[in-house]
Amino acid sequence: MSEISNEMLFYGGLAIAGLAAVILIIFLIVFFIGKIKLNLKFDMEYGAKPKKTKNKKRR
Amino acid sequence: MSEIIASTYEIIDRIGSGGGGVVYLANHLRLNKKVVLKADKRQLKTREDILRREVDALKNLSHTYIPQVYDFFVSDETVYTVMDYIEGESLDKPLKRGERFSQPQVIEWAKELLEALCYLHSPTHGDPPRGIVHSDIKPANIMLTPMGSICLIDFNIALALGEENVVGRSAGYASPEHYGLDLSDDTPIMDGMTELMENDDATIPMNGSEYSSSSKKIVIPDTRSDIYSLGATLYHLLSGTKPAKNVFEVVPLSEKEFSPQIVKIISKAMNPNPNKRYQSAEEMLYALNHLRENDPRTKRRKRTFAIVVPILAVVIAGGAFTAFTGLKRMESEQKALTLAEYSQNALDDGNIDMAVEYALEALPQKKSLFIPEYTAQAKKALSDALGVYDLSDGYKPQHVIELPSETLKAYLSPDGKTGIAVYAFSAELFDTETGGVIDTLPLAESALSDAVFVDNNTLAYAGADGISLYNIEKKSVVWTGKPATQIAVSADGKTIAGVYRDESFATVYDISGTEKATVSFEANKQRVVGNDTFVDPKDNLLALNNNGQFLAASFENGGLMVFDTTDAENSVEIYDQSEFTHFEGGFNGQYFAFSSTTDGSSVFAVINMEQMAQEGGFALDSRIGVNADESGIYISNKSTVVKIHPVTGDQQEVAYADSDVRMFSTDTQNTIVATEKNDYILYDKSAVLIEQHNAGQTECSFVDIAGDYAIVAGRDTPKIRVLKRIDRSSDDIFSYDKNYSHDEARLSADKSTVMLFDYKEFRLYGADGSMIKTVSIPDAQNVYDQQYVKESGNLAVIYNDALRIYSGKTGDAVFDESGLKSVFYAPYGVSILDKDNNLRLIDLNSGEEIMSEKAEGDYAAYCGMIVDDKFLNEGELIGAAKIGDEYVFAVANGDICAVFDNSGNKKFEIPVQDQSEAFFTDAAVITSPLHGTPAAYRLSDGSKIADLEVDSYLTYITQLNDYVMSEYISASGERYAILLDPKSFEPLARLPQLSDISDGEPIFDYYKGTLRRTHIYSINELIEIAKEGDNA
Repeated sequence: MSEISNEMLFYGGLAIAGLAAVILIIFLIVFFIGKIKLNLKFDMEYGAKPKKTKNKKRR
Repeated sequence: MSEIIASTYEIIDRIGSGGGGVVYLANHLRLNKKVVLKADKRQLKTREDILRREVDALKNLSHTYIPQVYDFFVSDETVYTVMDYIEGESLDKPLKRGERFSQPQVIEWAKELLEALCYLHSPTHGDPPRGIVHSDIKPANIMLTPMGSICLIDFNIALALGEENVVGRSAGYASPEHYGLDLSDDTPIMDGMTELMENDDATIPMNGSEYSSSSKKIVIPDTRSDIYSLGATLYHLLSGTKPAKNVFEVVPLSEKEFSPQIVKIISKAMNPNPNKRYQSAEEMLYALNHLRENDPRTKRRKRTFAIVVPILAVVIAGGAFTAFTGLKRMESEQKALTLAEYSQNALDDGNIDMAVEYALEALPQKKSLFIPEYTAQAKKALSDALGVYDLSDGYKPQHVIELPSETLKAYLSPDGKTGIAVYAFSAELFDTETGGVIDTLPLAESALSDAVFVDNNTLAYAGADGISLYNIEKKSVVWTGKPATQIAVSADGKTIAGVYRDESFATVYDISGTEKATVSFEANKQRVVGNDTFVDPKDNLLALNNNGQFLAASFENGGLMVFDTTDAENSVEIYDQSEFTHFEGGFNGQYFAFSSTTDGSSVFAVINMEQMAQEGGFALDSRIGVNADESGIYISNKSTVVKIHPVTGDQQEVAYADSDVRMFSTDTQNTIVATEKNDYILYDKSAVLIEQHNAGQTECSFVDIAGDYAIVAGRDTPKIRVLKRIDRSSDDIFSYDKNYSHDEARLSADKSTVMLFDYKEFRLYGADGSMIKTVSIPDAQNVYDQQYVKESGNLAVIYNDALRIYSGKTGDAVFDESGLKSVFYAPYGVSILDKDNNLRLIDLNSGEEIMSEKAEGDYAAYCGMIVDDKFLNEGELIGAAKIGDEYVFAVANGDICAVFDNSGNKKFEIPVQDQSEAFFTDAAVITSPLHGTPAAYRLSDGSKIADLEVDSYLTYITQLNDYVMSEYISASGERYAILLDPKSFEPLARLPQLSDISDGEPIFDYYKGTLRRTHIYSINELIEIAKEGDNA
């Protein structure tokens, strides 16, 4: 720890966390775009997914 | 004429026929509704009542994708099933037309068919677990309605009724069970099986009599047979190709043409082994309903998500935690730096207690990840505050007394153990040893209010109710007299006089409080400014002689009188009135000494009160300050303080400052002066400066010294510095003639000799203090350098063209050679290039030649190896060292210094200034310019570690076990050292007057005739010392 300054810890940690957060956001965006694209592919291959309808429960 | 069956159904049209029978479109005559009438010619053995009950069950079937069965009857030995007429066409027709269906469409139909099968196979509709088995699922039995949905038609009613010998089958769609084959144990195909499956016209009796050649069991189709038929139907709908009749010859669908999942589902549904098929329609429907979830792409994506997101989350959390840790550590570090600065400020103010407290706070004992290691600044603050490396005798800051408001007056008791500080409008009595307040005394509301020690235990002060005598030990007022502001006490402590503001009389008391006399000033009064509440010009003189007989008083009109308190007739008028506005003075035995000042000019005079005559005096065009008491008459003028003989006028200098003296105080041993530059300086009785401090931005207005204590105060500050005389003679390790002038004092490694030297001369002492020899150094003005060799105690005197080495045992020269071309010092030996171009390395301890080589170049230097002029390339060797077994050396060329290793390889370059020297430690090279800031660089890569002391010349670097000691000479000639962290080179402690290091312990020379030694304190030791001090 003595070789690593506190500034390095702070800014390094911040950079790592920030970079990872950016990567995560990018990943999530790409992931969800991919999911949309895959769903479109699935729609083509397996047919459109039936929309869920809300059924009111009768008591 | 149309045919009417069972008197109810009018045949409209024949819409189909096959091996099992004929299908008609008929009109239900009573309901007038179109129905389908399926005529089955196969014989049923079921009894009529059972038949009826089962048909009722069929009639109860109701599902979106199944036609409603209305009736079932037997007429003319033909079984008729009546059911809904479904408009549209069966799927076999478009297939025959060559039409193909999209995969999504087929999947949608498959789900609808499976929902229908789930309904049919449900045990509620038949004997568990079989339910109702359709038994003949194929495109021809699936109606496509105009709405686009499908309807499963043409139940095999016979099977539903439990008939075992009337099962029909459709080639390609029929499962092996339809052929009576049981392939559930995956037994290899046997003779006859294939043939049987290819004979699709045969009706298979379910008792298996026609298939005796196979060891296979004969089975009845069940729900899994429907699964097979559905799979085959889907196969046909997707591919447009009817599956092979023989299940073993079915060509699997292409995964390139269709989704691999669909292919797998159909393949599984069509598995010859019923146990390997979907075991129920629900299971297959589930697979179709979860195509997306079970798709490898979805799984792959989920797996990626499940790996990437947690990893990134951990990285984010880790990064955030690291940043948080760094932030907390930075905050702690910043706090420590701030506290260290506070500590230094407190130390500058003379407040040691606060300095130590702040330093301790900067060194938190609690350890955690969020608290960094001790900062160098905090360590330095503590060592400086504790003063562990200041072994000099003298008055050291001890406490700071802080008053509620600015100081008006401050005095010490005769023994110095008690102090009194006057402010508006109280006096604080304090203990100089502890710094604690003893009592706070209310004073008359005037800045003139005075407080004077009568003796060590008694104080006279201008109390709010009148002049008061206070017993310090008992903390009580002994008596109170008339109102008074100015107070005078006789030296014998038996008489006290008080004057209240500008009243024209003084009241004289004896020590018991009895009024002895009232001295009338007649029309005169002491000088009091308009508003004396906050201003005391200190222009008045009011003094009693030793026995209290005479009272001297100055007046506003410039008058000065000495009153005889016992007999007014004996009073002496010195000035009736004058132009003088400021008076100072007092009594010394029979002499009254005073100065009177106006417009910066003063007159000093001594009056012999016994003879009523002036003994002497003089006038100066500058202010003269006078302190007169039983110890003597002291006067100050400009920057000098002298003790003056009252009769002869002989002067003995007691202090000589570098600026005008504002105030001074003397005791029997020492003198303290306050100067206009706000310095406070202490001198011994020989007027030798003990130490000098500066009060910084605050005015140095009041000083007093008594016993072991001195105080310093200012009109513009409420803080009073208390100094204590410290005697560190217990740290003495060696004594020498204190009058012997020298620059350095060094102790040999074996501690047998001590050498005091400067560039002109050295003196060698034995360990017992006996002088061995004093030697004058020849040609002293040309001495280039001097190096003391600790191991032997030798002194190497280096010239540009000569080298002399003196023995540390005898003082005699052990090497003396001149006419040299070059001389270069390194810690392991002196390299010389003699006039015969011999490069020789001389042992500093013995003076003997270690190596000799013939130089070939014009210039060469020797530092363990030959460095010729080509290599130096007109550079200059400025430092060399032997680290382990390797040599390393620094060559400066212009503003670049290259560091080379043992092999002559350049390690790196660092910036350097003209006339620099280079020192080495195991891990660093330190450049020391003659004019500039020394800097340390890493020996590994040449990267800069830190700048060292600014405005001082680095003379030497010594590597200790856990520290590096750097020694300096300041611009003012002060020698000191800074203890450095070996890695960061941050300062850890200041060691003033460091003279030598022996066995890792610092030795100090204060040029007072002794050498003193201490040890390097670890931070834990310092903390312990600080805590012990706190507890004390």
